[in-house]
Amino acid sequence: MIDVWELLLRSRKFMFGLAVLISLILLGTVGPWLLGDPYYMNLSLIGRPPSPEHLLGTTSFGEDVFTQLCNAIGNSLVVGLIAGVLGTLIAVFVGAVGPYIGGMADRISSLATNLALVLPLIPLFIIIASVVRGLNLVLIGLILAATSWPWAARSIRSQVLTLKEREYVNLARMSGQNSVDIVVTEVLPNMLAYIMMVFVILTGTAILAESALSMIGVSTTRTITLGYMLYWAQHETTVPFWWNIWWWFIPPGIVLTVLLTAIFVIHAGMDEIFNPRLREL
Amino acid sequence: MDDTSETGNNGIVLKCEGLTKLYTSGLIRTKTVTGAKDVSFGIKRGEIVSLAGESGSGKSTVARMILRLIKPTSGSITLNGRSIYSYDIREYYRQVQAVFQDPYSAFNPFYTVDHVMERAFGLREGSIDPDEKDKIIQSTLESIGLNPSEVLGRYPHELSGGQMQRMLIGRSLLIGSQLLIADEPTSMIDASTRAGVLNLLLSLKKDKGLSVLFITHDIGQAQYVSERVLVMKQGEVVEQGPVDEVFIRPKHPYTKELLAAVPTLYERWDTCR
Amino acid sequence: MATHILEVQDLRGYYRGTFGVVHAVDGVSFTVDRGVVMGIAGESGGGKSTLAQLVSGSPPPLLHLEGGTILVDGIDIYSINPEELRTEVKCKRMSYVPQSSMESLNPVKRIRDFIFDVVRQRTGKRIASSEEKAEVLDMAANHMKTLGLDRPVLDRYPHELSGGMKQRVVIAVSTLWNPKLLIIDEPTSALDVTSQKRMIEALLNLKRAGTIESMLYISHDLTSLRQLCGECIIMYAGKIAEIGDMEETIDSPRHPYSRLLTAAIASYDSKGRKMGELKSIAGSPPDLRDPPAGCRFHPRCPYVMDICRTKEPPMFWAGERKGGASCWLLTSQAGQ
Ligand SMILES: Nc1ncnc2c1ncn2[C@@H]1O[C@H](COP(=O)(O)OP(=O)(O)OP(=O)(O)O)[C@@H](O)[C@H]1O
Ligand SMILES: Nc1ncnc2c1ncn2[C@@H]1O[C@H](COP(=O)(O)OP(=O)(O)OP(=O)(O)O)[C@@H](O)[C@H]1O
Ligand code: SF4
Ligand SMILES: [Mg+2]
Ligand SMILES: [Mg+2]
Repeated sequence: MIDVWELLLRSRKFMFGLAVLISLILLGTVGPWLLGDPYYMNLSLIGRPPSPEHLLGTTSFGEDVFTQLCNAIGNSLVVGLIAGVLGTLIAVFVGAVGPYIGGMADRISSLATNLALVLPLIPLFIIIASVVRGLNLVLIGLILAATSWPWAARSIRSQVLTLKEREYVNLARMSGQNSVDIVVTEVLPNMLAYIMMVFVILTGTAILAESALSMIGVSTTRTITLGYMLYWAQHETTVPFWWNIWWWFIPPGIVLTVLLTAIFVIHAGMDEIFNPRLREL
Repeated sequence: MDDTSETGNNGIVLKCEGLTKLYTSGLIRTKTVTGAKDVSFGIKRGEIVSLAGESGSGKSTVARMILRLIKPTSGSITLNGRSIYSYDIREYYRQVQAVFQDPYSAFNPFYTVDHVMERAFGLREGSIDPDEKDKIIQSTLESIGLNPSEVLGRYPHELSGGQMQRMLIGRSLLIGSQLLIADEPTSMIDASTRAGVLNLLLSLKKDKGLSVLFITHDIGQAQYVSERVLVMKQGEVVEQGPVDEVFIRPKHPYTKELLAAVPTLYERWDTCR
Repeated sequence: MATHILEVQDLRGYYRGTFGVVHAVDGVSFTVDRGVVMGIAGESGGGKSTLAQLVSGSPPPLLHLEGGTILVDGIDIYSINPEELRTEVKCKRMSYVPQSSMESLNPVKRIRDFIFDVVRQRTGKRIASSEEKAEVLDMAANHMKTLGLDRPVLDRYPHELSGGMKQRVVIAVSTLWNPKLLIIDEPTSALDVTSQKRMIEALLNLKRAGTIESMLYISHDLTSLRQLCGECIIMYAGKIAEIGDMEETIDSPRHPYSRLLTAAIASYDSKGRKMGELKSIAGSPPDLRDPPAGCRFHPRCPYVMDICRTKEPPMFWAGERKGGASCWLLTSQAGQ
């Protein structure tokens, strides 16, 4: 187990992805704090191209694109994180409880997983967005979490089922431990790596999902996220051809790609190390 | 553990009667596999009984039923004259312990091996202060020929199979059980270490009156270590009796086949010449 | 064509990690001639699997090659690039079946799909058309017959097979390409005696059928080694204690460790009555992070001499007998 963490630190993929991710996180946390109000519209500077004062130019509302971008990164990460953490917790709970308590609990958790698996996400969102007034980041994170855990719960369940067959679980039982103890102290620690992977994937997909939803205008329309920037860049522009303000939509597009790539590369690095079958080849 | 009255009638510690286990799998169209069928035997105090048979013959199934890890489909198991299910679970495990087939999977890779030893104290009543605990662990390990400073604090994969297996035996000693279920405790270890483990079982039996159900597929070991042997095939006991009797004059053809398959050091099988 | 199928020179492989440096293989040299089945036995934790992993060309991440060379059919496997290693060595000359490899069968895949996967990995080609599939399956089925497996096995899932069958499936798959050298690590330890016997016979059949030429067979179990191998190596604490002809090594072992090891078996293996007491070797195997100076067996050796504690014994090669042992007791004989 210990070796695995060492290997991780030595994995180029993982470290590269992590470095990129950390720089983006810094940009998203320190940037907004240094740069001031992202919504400030300087109406005398509408749709200006990049310049020393406005590194990435301004929007057609006269907002500074770089400031917006930093905020967008931060907010997108927040949505991803909320959905990632929560989704992982739900997945672990639902996935682990069934095999352990068995009987009715197992049936219910399996049923819930399968039902949630076929839940249509986008229609659901459109309905929620039209019903709920103040749709904010936290709410979106919650909704994304609530819809993204099923596949993870399913694979965690199968992992728990195999780990449960290990003799050390029997040994723990014969040391007088109860089922909850066993799950918490014997089974879950061995899944940490896997759970981390689930978390990374859920976070990545949540960021992507939020952006996609923002782009079609279903998500929050008040808080800047990467998707929000892309949405406004193509919809609200005073210039006849919106792609003329390329500095408005290209940066969030690139950042989104880089962010997701970083997350994917981190995941690939972890997969190589945690999945011995791949390691062998 | 010192009085014989506790061990019930004629010193029989464990008694299994008509033990049957059917495994069912599949939710809608169920498939049934017979794990064990009508297995009956008893183990006396201070006796080592071997359970031999090929892979899949149901040896581990019987062990797991005795260990209360799975429920028998039918039949009864009694410990000291009482049904094993009438015991409080912790009280039961204070008396019955096991050493498993594969030492590599008996240790949780997440923890150092100390974890397993410390967990064993969970079965004791009352609390013990940490110093006392360490002392008990150390002396137990020494008594089974392990050097505590060499094994403690290390992760399972940093130990050899034999060391792990001996730690598991140490763990059950720590608990002070009177019945040990040893499920192929020597399959992964070399001859010299194996001899050490077998001799350890023999001396525990002599000195502490330990009863052992020794599960093995290697008849040679069964012969060395036990007084009585049961031969299982496809879930059923096909032959049982005193060890020399069964090995010198096997009655069931399957026992003969098993005996013939044991490789010897100084001869080759005809098919391998 | 090189004279030896495998030539290992002064091989060193250490594990490096938070736990320190484990000197698991420390200066091992030997050769395997064509057509020979070489057995490797020794104490558990003595470095047998580590040696196999090094020879296989793809050691696990924490295991580092610290020195020495390995020539497989004359090719120095650590001086060529990974692609060459794959195409020239792993797909043609050598196949490696790791310890407990039967656990690595994917539980949700049928055996046939597992075979397609492996074929794809080796050849780098996807097998899409049904003719190609049928061809691969025919080849596999034919091959599996030598190992005593019927064609229906192809359509089963791993959990529907017994341990012995799974093990033979893995071997069948790793010998599909008629490797000259098969490295196989503890294929029988997890099996019962009857399956063990079947397994050993199957391996022998493979060799007789000419599917494989030579074998490096690793097992802690000297008795099963004895059934199959022509020569053997006894390892102790990362080093070769004794090497030589299988039968001679068992009948008249030269190294004190081999002597004690065979004694631990001999006394109970004869049929009939229980024979004497089994003797284990006093003491425990050394901590390979800090192996003892001099002869590594000296803390447990009943014949220990002063020189053993300080100077490492070289390999003393016996004159008329093939092989040798690394023990100072042999100086007198070696001097002749
Ligand atoms: N959980 C299970 N579900 C379904 N069938 C099972 C299960 N466990 C064991 N079996 C089946 O029950 C039979 C007996 O298995 P068991 O593990 O008791 O054999 P064994 O004699 O211990 O073999 P081995 O020497 O391989 O350990 C086998 O046919 C096996 O496939
Ligand atoms: N991943 C690892 N990290 C650290 N030490 C290891 C690792 N793998 C093995 N070792 C150590 O290296 C030594 C040699 O191990 P190896 O697995 O080669 O032994 P072996 O002879 O194959 O034993 P066995 O018969 O039990 O399989 C042992 O002392 C072991 O503790
Ligand atoms: S060199 Fe010395 S210590 Fe080592 S095996 Fe020979 S006699 Fe024993
Ligand atoms: Mg078993
Ligand atoms: Mg090994």
